[in-house]
Amino acid sequence: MRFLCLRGSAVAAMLVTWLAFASASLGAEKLYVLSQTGAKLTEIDLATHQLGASVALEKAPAALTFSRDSKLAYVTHPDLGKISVVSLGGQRVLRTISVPGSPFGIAVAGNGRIYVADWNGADVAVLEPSDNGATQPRIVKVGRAPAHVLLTPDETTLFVANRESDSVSVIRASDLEVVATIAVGRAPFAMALSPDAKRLYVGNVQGGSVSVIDTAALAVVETIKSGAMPYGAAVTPDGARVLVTNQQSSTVAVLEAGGAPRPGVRVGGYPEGIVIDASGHFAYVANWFSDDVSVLDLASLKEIRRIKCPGGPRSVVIARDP
Amino acid sequence: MTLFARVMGVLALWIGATAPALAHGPTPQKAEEKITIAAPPAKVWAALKEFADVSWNPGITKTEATGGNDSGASRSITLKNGKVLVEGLDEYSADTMSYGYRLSTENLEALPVSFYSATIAVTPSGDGSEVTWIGRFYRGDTSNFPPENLNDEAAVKAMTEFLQEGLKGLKAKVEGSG
Repeated sequence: MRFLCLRGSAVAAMLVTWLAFASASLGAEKLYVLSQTGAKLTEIDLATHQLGASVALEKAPAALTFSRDSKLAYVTHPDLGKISVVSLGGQRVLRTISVPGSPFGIAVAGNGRIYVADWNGADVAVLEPSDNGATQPRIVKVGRAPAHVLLTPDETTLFVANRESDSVSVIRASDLEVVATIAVGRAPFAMALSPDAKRLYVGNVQGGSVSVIDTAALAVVETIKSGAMPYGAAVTPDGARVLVTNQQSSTVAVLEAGGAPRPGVRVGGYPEGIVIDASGHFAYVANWFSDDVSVLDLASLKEIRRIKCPGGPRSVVIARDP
Repeated sequence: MTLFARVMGVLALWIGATAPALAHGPTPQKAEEKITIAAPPAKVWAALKEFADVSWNPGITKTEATGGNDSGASRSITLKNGKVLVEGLDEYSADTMSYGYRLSTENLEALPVSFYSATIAVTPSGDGSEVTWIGRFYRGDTSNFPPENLNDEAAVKAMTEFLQEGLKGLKAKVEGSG
């Protein structure tokens, strides 16, 4: 597979070393899991795998993102037309913001600007930090039924997976223009970016595939078969592997260069969100049906632990203590 | 009413009427039903294993299928209410005695859910077997203001009852056949 460019190179070794150093010198990593039916945001200690503090939320939270400084969590409630803003230090909901439609995928820029997709519509609402929900957000037209959104680390570009238009919209953050609409497989839902931001991986739920987008050319360069209903994706810190949750088969597919397709790693029921720690040693998977989080050891590609959590976990995010 | 308002009204109706087919909502629901059957797993699986043959399920009156047990196979099932659903086979494993499938063509008059995927599996249990049937689905009306007959509760109730009736039928068929 061509998407792998760093593997085995000296650059990769340097990057891994740097990441290991960086993770040691920063605050401790914590895992947060968002549970839809349980309506809770729960902290999990990565060293002990014990559940920590839990914040009760309004009904049916769906998607989760964090502020750049990891002090705030932003949670969407598509059925309520609301966003909850949660203080992680204070472990409480600071405020809720009403937005039009059914807010689903969400991204937040360093200055506090919020991008949120309207699942039952065809647009992304952009809320400026000064608004606090008081004024009407700006609306950017995208494809039908936008699911997740992804803001690049340099915050110049927002990618939007349009579930019913089988496309990804590319929005330029500076002027909120849609600069490209890229056709992908059937029903794109979740996305993940390579560490160098050169490749965007898009999971196509109905297509059972991952579209690989060159983020400079804004074009699909490869389509990889993943398995039944890919609902989540994450890239290892060295860029060498893409992990995809196959919801219908309750497995995590490991896509990597050169090697023959591996059998998926079995996890809990109907896995959705997936995240990989900064060291690249472990992946964490939210199992929506079985109400737990799978811990995968990425050296052996085995599930080593299941952590029971509040019902219907959908999203997992790793944050550092500020 | 001004002409403009009337035109906008008609336009709104038209947009509503052309909502995309098989749209599903942002927040899925789940159902899980299990039944124990006094027969070895192989015997239970023998009754279940043909994706095209759902004669074990009293909730289904007629089936038309193509594609055998291969991924991508399709079956049209007619429910007791006379309405038809079309389902597609995703994954089939004789080794683990399970298969997973999804709704391909919704029909709210058949079942008040807008999309589902489901897995049925046979496992050993004591001297006999346990059959687990799980479904993940969305309410019939995925807007934020669904009528009572198409809301989350209605979807969970209909799906749960459908699974329960099917499993009872399977148990009766397998245990009744000696």
